[in-house]
Amino acid sequence: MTSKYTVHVVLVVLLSLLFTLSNYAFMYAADINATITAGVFVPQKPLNLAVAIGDRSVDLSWSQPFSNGGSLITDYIVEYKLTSGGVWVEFPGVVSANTFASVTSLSNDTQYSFRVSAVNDIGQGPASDEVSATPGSPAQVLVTGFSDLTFPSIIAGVLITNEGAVQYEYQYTWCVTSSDSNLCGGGDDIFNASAAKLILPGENWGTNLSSTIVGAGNYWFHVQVQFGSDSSYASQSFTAVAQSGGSGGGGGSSSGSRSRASSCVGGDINKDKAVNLVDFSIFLLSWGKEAPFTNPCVDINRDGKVTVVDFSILLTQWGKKPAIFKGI
Amino acid sequence: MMSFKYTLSVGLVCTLFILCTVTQVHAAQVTFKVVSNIVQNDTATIVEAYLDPEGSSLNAIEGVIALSGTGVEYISSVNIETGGSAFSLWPQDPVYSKDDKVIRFTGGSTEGVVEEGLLFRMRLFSQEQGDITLSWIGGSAYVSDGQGTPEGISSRSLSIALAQSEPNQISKSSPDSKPPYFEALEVSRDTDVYEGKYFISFHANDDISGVARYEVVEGQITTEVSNGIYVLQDQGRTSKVVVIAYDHAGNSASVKVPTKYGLFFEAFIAGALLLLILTLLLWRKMRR
Repeated sequence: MTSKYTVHVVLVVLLSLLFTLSNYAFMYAADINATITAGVFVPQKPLNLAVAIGDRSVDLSWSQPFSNGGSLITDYIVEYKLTSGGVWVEFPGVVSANTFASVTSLSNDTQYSFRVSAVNDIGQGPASDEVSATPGSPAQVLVTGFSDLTFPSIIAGVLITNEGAVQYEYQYTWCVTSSDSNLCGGGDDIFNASAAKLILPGENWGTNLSSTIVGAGNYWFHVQVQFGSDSSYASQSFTAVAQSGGSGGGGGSSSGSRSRASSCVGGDINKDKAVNLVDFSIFLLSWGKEAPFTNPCVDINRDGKVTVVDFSILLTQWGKKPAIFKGI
Repeated sequence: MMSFKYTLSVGLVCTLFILCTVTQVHAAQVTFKVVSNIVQNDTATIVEAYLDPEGSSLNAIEGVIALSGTGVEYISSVNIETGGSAFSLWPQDPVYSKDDKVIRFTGGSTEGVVEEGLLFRMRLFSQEQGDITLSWIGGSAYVSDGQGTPEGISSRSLSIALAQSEPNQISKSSPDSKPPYFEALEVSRDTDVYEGKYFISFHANDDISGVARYEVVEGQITTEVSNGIYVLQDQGRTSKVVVIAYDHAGNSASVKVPTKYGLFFEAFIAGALLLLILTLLLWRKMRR
């Protein structure tokens, strides 16, 4: 009798325990369900993190994540570390949903890694893919012209400016190739050389660079100045001529087209006393071509080629009364 | 002692003077920046190139931008949009050469660019994740002085950890709902070009995605045109000719080309016909 009573009591206790547990389970499930319905999470990782280097600094830019997690992104956290080791350090910045930032107070010629993560009301999302960069004092490089274009060696004038605030030793490379897109060291250099120069901040350092070429003809001169993990580039095409002068490879216009061109007035190619879209369309027909031209007026500066220089002169007279190019 | 102090002071003044008079050679600046996609499902990596004339007025620019890095092999396409650019005329549209891995272009502005403005927008599509670098490797800008004076360009490369993207999703998701607009259309004839035939020159602009192509509908014939020039088939110029400009999002705008008689004459004929019909109707009503 007592044992029967005990069994009943145990059964009742077990049943009530089961009931309570199942209740909790349902409540918990309902909670999960509520969370899923609300659908608010941390944002996904930002995409396409990009870096441009500066003097002891870098500029970062990136794209928003595919998903903000259901809540607006309120901030991005930028972190950096030495690529060779070290721990991620958050770069302090103002709270902003802008997708760009500058990281300053870095050391030149030291490689850093960078990553960015998005923040919303729920919290901080995963970090973007890393990018690495080595800051350096940016250089501006210009090809100022050619002082000698006689085969077998040509001399190009180059100007390098230190745009940073500290003196910097620049490694620079120059080469001659057959195309505008073939950079120095691309394996098809006709000539290649390199040197280094310490330049003061703000200084314009000019130099003449000599290159040896294989024969008369059309070439591209390229110069590359390295700073940190970046480089500045400049290039210019040239036509090398044979030493004797002779017939010249420069590509001057024929005398026939020259005499006809003498009646041309600036950008007024169709001679209707106005410079407009009609002139532009005739101009386009000869774009990139060399003399002789069907309409010699397309060669506004009369250098035997229709290039961006002619285009620039045409544009200055656009919608105005045409004027003879004074440089002739 | 006094003389040493004096020499030191003069030396300091001279050094300061030299430092102050060191001026940078003037150059315009091209910068690159990754920007966010405006539309959901748009997976393209968008990079904008800007030109800062740094105080000059520039009316033409030519350049070569190289794409390099381990991820460059994964790039399936680079679509370039000139919508909203500071330059509106493009003798050489910015186009990506997959063989050379460079973008070449020549652009112009009739008014001259005097402050920082968009050059163009690049939409990069990559089959895989990878690192790429965009570098300005050559080119010049030209001052609006009528002399074709070149101005150097300084630029810093942009290295990107490129995400994977799917080109198919992009065309439908463009946020551009604004149609292009025509800036000029001229009918002309020149003895030196097109065998002296009549041709039309036209130019449209689009602020968002840029003009993609033109169509010329002459009578029953539709011709796709890319460069804004079309030689008329009907040299009598009596056929109806309509030019349609499409932007990259598929929006379009059209403009009617005046016939030999001009738009005023056409309007006059239409008005006269309408008047004739009205007179006939009135006459019939009066007869009843």
